[in-house]
Amino acid sequence: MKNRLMLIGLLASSLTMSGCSLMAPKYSASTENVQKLKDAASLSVKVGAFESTPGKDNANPISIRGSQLASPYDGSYANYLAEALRQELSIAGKLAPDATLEISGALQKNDMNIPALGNGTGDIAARFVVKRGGEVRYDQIKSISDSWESSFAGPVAIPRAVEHYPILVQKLLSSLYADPAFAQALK
Amino acid sequence: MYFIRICVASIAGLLLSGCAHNMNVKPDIETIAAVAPDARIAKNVGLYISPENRGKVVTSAGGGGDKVSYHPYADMETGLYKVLGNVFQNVTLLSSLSDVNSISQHSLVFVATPEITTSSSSSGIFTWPATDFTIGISCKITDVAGRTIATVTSSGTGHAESSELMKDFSRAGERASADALQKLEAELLKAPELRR
Repeated sequence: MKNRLMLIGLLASSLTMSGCSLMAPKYSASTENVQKLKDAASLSVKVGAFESTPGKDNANPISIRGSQLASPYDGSYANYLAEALRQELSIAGKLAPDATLEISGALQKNDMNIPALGNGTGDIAARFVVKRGGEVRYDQIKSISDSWESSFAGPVAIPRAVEHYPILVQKLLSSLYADPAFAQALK
Repeated sequence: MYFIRICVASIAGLLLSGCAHNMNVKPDIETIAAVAPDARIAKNVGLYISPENRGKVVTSAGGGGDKVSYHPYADMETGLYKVLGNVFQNVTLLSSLSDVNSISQHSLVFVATPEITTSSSSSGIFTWPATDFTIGISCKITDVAGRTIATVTSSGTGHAESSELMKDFSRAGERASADALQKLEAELLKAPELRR
């Protein structure tokens, strides 16, 4: 009886966990974000440096059920955020490497959790700074928390979490673009 | 004993369930070439994708008798937006076909409503990803009153070797969508009805 229960336990843990290295999907711009950005910004901007603030909630790589999820942008999630911003500005026609306006920032929180039971959850927060020359026109922290349907089975839950990472970033940027003070800073 | 049987049956069910494998058909939008300013159509266009289409999941053939599933409209929306933004003077995302505010605020002349069709197959016997994809786009362009001005179509194909699919399960679909969008851009630029 004891051996059978151990076997079941082993099978169950192999289903719920799989320790390997994974790469987060490259960022794919959100059309709704691009439209918001286009409507908000009247001036062109460049993307400056994005740093990562050390902290226990600012994971790199992100651990999901024993697997390690790395950023496809030089292993840096701060670079991931900068690239996401660059892509959406570019499609909106608002990216100019020689612009006087610059958006920079720092990733402060970055983590996902997929328990064996219940929904997967993700939290991401970043400080965004808009400067023109030396003048700070915007300096705020934006954060979002999100959840999605997960599964007891690792082979289902882990890919779902991996696919959800770009959606977390899209939602974070959506909250930035929707801020009237951010729009004002880009005018 | 009954509890153990239930556990074993549940685990076997999870392992053996024949579900479709998730993949995507997101194009690399960097491959969609910019259009020279003087070749553009000097009119503003709205892009409309219905909520039903945006949420639509399509399932088609993968390898080894398995199937693959993906969201063609959601995956290709940004690419379609970029193509229209390249071809026309300006593009605006519409929340509905009667989004009067956006139509007047952005001085839209046309509304583009795409329809996407897909098919896939695989030469792989032991692996599930599709090695070959075909994606068709039929883009209906109407005026803001709903009268059809033109229907521009394109068809893209994408192939990926098994070794490539080990790194990216979606490679064939991604190539097909990029190919279809590049061809759509070329066809839109050639359509005389859009320049009248």
